[in-house]
Amino acid sequence: MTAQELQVTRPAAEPESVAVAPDAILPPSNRIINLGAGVGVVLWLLVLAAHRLIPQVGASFKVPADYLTPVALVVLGIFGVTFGIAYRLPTQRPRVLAIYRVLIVLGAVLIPWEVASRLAWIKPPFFPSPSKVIGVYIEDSSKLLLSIAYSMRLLVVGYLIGCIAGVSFGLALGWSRRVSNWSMFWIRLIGPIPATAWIPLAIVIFPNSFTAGVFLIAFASWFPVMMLTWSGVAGVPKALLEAAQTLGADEKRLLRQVVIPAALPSVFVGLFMSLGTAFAILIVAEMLGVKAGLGWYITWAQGWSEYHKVYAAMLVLGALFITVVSGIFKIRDRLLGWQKGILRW
Amino acid sequence: MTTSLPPAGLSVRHLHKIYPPDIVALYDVNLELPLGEFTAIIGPSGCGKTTLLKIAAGIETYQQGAVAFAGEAIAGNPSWKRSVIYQDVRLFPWLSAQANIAFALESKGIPKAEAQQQAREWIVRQGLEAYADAYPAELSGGTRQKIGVCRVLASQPDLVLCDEPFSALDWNARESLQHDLLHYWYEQRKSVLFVTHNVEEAVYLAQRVVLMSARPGVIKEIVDVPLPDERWTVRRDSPQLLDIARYVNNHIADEVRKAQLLEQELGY
Ligand SMILES: Nc1ncnc2c1ncn2[C@@H]1O[C@H](COP(=O)(O)OP(=O)(O)O)[C@@H](O)[C@H]1O
Ligand SMILES: [Mg+2]
Repeated sequence: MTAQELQVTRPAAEPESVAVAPDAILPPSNRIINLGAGVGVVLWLLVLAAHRLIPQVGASFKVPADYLTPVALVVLGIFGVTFGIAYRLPTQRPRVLAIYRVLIVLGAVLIPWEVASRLAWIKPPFFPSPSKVIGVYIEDSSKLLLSIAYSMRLLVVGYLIGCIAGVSFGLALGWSRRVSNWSMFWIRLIGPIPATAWIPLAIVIFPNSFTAGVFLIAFASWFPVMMLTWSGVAGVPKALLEAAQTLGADEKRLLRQVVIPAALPSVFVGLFMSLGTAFAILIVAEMLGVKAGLGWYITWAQGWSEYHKVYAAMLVLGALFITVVSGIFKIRDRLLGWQKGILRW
Repeated sequence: MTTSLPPAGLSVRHLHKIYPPDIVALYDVNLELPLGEFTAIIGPSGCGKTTLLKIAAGIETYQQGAVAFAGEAIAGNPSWKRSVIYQDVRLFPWLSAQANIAFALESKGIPKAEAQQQAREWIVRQGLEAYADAYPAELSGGTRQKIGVCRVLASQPDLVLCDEPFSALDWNARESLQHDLLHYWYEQRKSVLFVTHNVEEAVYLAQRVVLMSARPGVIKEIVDVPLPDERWTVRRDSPQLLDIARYVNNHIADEVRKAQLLEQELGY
């Protein structure tokens, strides 16, 4: 009986702490930190050595600007600073280690790349040197920033419209039998048409390439969001609907306080899935003839055989995707805090 | 001491319920309960107790018959006036303990701020301040059902329908919730219909115990429990209580046997 009493009166926080991984309780040991910093510094010194010591095979008279040296020095500086932080603030060690992992992999990739480029095993323009790719961010930064701004505008507007439409349609389909009976056939027919197939029509219907692009991105995000919202609503436990009804909840309360929260985990899966599609369509949409944008930038750079710019822009796209996804994750974690690690990607 | 006929509470007439295609859950069930009575229903598993409760709550359809509460036809309309305490509690996992209680009060039409205030009072009265902001997933089974009971009693329903609400709980939690329910009934004089398969619990709580037969569910007998209304003063081992329990036990023993035979026949 004492065990049962214990169970009844246990503090709310306890089950939570059980779920936490053990390495989050104990900060990583000195050995791990030393090892991480050591390996990282050695790798980046090798990057620097390959860059400075191997003579460039087939060098032209015009010596290109050197961007790899400052980057390598900054990275070595980062190792120094974070090493200090790791010893001053042991709680920050997991974060420091996360940085180390990224930099170690980056260094490990850069060494063979730089060596191959120095020895002219790989040749520009298709395979430029690391320094050349880094240089894009400095030499072409204004054009790149403008492109980021244009792309984000197109993406955010199209994606938001698509998501709002997807969630509303999904709720209507899941909630009303009449709506689903009438539209099921058409959704099955139209939904799976790839957004790119709409390009000819979009160009004709919409007054400019921006609105046409918004439409394409919205369409591409709409379908997965709608389907997953729908399935989320369809999967709301009947037991909870009954509970709400017997407490006297009207239709509006049922929808807002039961159906939507219950469907939300599924909705977020849809939001996440459609973001990938939206990015893919973004690049295509910007090839329809916009003034600036990352997709446009890539096409334009390719036209001039400036492949280093293509790769630089690709990396920016990846970084943008990570940023947007982590934004969505933040919102999700706020809204789905009640799940306590039950459903995580 | 004769009085006039008591006002009608739950009234079930010639109720037939068939789950498609051919599972006869209830067969010609008739039940007239006076308003404000604490009634227990006891019967073997699968005899249709949950079905009867769901129909009374208005969340289940039926083929034939008439079901009314306080003279008002129920006809598939759920309402906070006929609220259910479920065995599996059914708290909303995305609402905190306090918000779950407030949900019930707001559903009844109480303004948001006041609903929050009243929910808080229920939490405090139960001594659950520490759990007010905890989500159901963070609560133990007993605490969860305490919130579940508060959620139902907070809106002061006229008929409290209980579907084996305490059978999964430890002894401590069960006793305290039984007393909460008894006090609610005693002070408010609202109707309570309490389904259980525990004879002692039925006799301890109820003024009358309805015995249901094995499937199809038919009312077999109604047993009066002549114990004082202040049940919390009655000892669980009092000879009078045990006598009634023994009587009920004997009566349902052969029903349980029948139910078991039926299950064997159906090949469970
Ligand atoms: N949704 C349903 N569909 C089909 N059969 C059901 C359903 N719910 C209950 N039943 C059947 O009806 C009978 C009565 O069920 P129930 O009311 O849950 O009994 P009890 O609560 O007394 O155990 C059982 O045989 C059960 O299998
Ligand atoms: Mg049942």
